[in-house]
Amino acid sequence: MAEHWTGIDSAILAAYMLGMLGIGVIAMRRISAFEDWFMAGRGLTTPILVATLVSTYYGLDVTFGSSETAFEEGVSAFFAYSAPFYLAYAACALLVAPRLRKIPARTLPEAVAHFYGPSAGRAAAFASFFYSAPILSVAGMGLIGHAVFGWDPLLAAAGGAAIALVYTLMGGLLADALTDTVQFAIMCLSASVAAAFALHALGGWEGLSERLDPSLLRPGGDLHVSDLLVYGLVAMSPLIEPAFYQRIFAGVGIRAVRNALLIGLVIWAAYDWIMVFLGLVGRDMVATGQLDAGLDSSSILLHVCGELLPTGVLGLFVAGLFASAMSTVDSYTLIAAGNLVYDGVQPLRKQPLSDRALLHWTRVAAAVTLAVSLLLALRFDRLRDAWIFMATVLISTVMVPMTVALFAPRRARPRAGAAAAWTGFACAMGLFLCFEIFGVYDPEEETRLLLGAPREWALLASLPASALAFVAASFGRPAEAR
Amino acid sequence: MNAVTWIAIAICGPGALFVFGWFLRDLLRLRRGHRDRRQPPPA
Repeated sequence: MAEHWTGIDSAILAAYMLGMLGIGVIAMRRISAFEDWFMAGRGLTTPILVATLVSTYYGLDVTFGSSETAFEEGVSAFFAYSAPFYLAYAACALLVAPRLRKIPARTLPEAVAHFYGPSAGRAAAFASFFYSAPILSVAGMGLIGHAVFGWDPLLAAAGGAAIALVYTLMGGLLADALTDTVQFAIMCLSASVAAAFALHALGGWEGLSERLDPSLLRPGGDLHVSDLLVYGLVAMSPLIEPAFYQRIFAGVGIRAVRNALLIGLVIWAAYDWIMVFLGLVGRDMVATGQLDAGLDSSSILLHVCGELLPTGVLGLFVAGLFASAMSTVDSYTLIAAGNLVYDGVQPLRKQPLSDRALLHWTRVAAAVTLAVSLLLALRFDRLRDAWIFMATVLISTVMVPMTVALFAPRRARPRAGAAAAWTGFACAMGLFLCFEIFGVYDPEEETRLLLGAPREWALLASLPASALAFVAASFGRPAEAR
Repeated sequence: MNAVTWIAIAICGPGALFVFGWFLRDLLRLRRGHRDRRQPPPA
């Protein structure tokens, strides 16, 4: 791809990076307290919520992951992997957000603690921290820098992460939301332009579907039932997503939050379809010899766009990829830092931290989180492995207690929530540790196996364990009426 | 499939620009509101 890169593309990318830092400086002038920095003064309106939700939740894992899966498995990447998430987005907008807005909280762990007490809140804070550490997007920026400029992945990842850190430290959630708005426009626009170029170059879907293997155009694909179950469960993660929760609490009102989630749903679906389409274009270009058959499928998107996009548009597309990564890095760094200081340290202290100390230490924690993520990003061989671990820990810990708290007609006992959260957390961590120590890597399944079961199935054990612990701890005194 | 892809392109391109324009309109209104509050009320 580097051979197609020109000075104009570099200028576009540099303008984007400087623009992000400029927004951080502007936002910093409006920060006077922790509430301003961490919650943007609870004043996010519908358009800014759409932009920050879409760009934060969709990072490079989705961008590269969807195109890679489509390249290998066809349109099932959209119908089997992405589509179940849309149900969860709709449920989040119509059922979860209105209930959450009624409780006095700023974060997911604080919401859990509101229903079940500080112990359950601490388990949720640990799980949310593991989930939110922006390992995937930091690693993704390393991949882009390496593929586009031939840079060392560590250097590229550190450069992108440093810029995201600087404007987040300066302006907090306000800078994060403002940069997300620009990043949202760049990432969506660049994807849309790339798809239009690809569609024009290939002569429409007719040409593509004539050349591709018909099995690639089957919506269901060849997935095992248990895989579908795991992906279906993982697709429910938006119901307990820390970034969703922070934005639901930071929105100016419930109407703004609900509309933003529903508009976001449509944009997420369109973005997913474009990435799947570009993955299939890559498959076609390999089949027709326009791309080398030995290319790594995870970076197929970069190669497709390197071949098809003209000067300037290519620069916009790479800026869009960095935008997609940085919007995720800044938001989740902020959340993970909040999990450490606001949800972790603050409740343990007899004297709560002063507003100024809270702001100072959360900023320090943001820098530490990003440094740790940078180191961890280089330790995972495959991005998907890291993502499955993070999603499993969060869902196992928080899904059962939060679902009961939001939807059950009676309030459950605090110790039931704490038992479910800690059991799910311990079970998920323990199982992944067992897979790491005793599991054997199977190159055909491309995962670690333990007693014949793939690592992805850990969720099928840890989630029921959490539910069982909840039921067991609910016995005894009658539950308190709501 | 062609139509679906063009709809996706329209949502991600002009659709995203519409949301961005909406945000700018909100921002301008907010700034105007701040400016109006700073000015003394008419006599």
